[in-house]
Amino acid sequence: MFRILFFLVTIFVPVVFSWWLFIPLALLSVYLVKLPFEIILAGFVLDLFYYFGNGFFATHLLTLFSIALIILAFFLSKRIHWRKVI
Amino acid sequence: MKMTFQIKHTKHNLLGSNYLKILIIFLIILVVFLVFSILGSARSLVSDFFSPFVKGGNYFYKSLELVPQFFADRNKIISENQNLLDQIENNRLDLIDYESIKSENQRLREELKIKPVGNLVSVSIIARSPQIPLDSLLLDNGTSNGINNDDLVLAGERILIGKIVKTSKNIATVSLSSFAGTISYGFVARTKEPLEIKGIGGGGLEVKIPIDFDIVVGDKIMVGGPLELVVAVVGAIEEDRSSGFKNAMMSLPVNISKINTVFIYHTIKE
Repeated sequence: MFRILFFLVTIFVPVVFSWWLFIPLALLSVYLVKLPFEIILAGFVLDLFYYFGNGFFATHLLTLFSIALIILAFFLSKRIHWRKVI
Repeated sequence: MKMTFQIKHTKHNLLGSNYLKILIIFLIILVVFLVFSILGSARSLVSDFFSPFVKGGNYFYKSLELVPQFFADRNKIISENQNLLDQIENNRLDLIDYESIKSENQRLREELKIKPVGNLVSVSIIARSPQIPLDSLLLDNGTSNGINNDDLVLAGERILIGKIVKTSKNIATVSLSSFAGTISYGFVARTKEPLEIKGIGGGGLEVKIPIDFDIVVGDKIMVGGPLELVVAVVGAIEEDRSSGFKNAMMSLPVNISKINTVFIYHTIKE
């Protein structure tokens, strides 16, 4: 339940306040939630909404950031056992 | 008492037991991506869904601007009020002048058979930085109102601030001329010398020109085409004598944070 709530916060807080809040929220998700794949979806949805420029990286900036973060978290989770809170 | 310790080897397998589960989640996300990409209306759906939240955020930032007023000194407010009343009076007089010049311009255009200024559609701004990325704006009209990609966005009848780069059914995204990396081709209004201006982000533009190029602070940079529009105003010039070039730093002709309505000029696509 908390995981879903956190996912909703990750999507709506950047939309209401500021786009860059997605970055700390995604990092926080990785810390609090064990392998939060849902942030990729959040990044993808926000990429549809925002404009960061032309080109592949600019068009999918937040999606790529989320994927990179998840891949990093996936490999790190095997080495560092951080606390799963949610 | 004799104690026996058994050392258990922990396997750090990168591809653990839940690898399959992770792979399935990845595949589901991939399918969702593909479905969203195939459906052309995905952006419209997302925009429509987020629209009230964006408007709410915009209202929040507007309310935030009013906070200092609650702590302002009474005398300061009275003097500010007086200044604003003076400004209103000046604006009223300027408006009368403008109307007379406009009607004269219209008459001259008719006499010279010059095509009148195109149909401009006025649209409200619903979000700007910091709510959305720098040098972009969200407008509350989209393809349903005939707004398309590459349409020009004006802040006044002759002030170009950017162009439409992303559209959905009810929302359009504007990339300002100052968006980092955006290149515009224009000329100095005073000398008609052509130049290539580049957006550097944060409302700024720059141009690198030879040191003997005739440009001064306050010069207006215009773009040609069907309309001659002001795109930037020179704010500072930095000379680099060793390289033989100088950088002219420019800003947009209007303060984006102060405007709430823009005008869309439809470009004709071939």
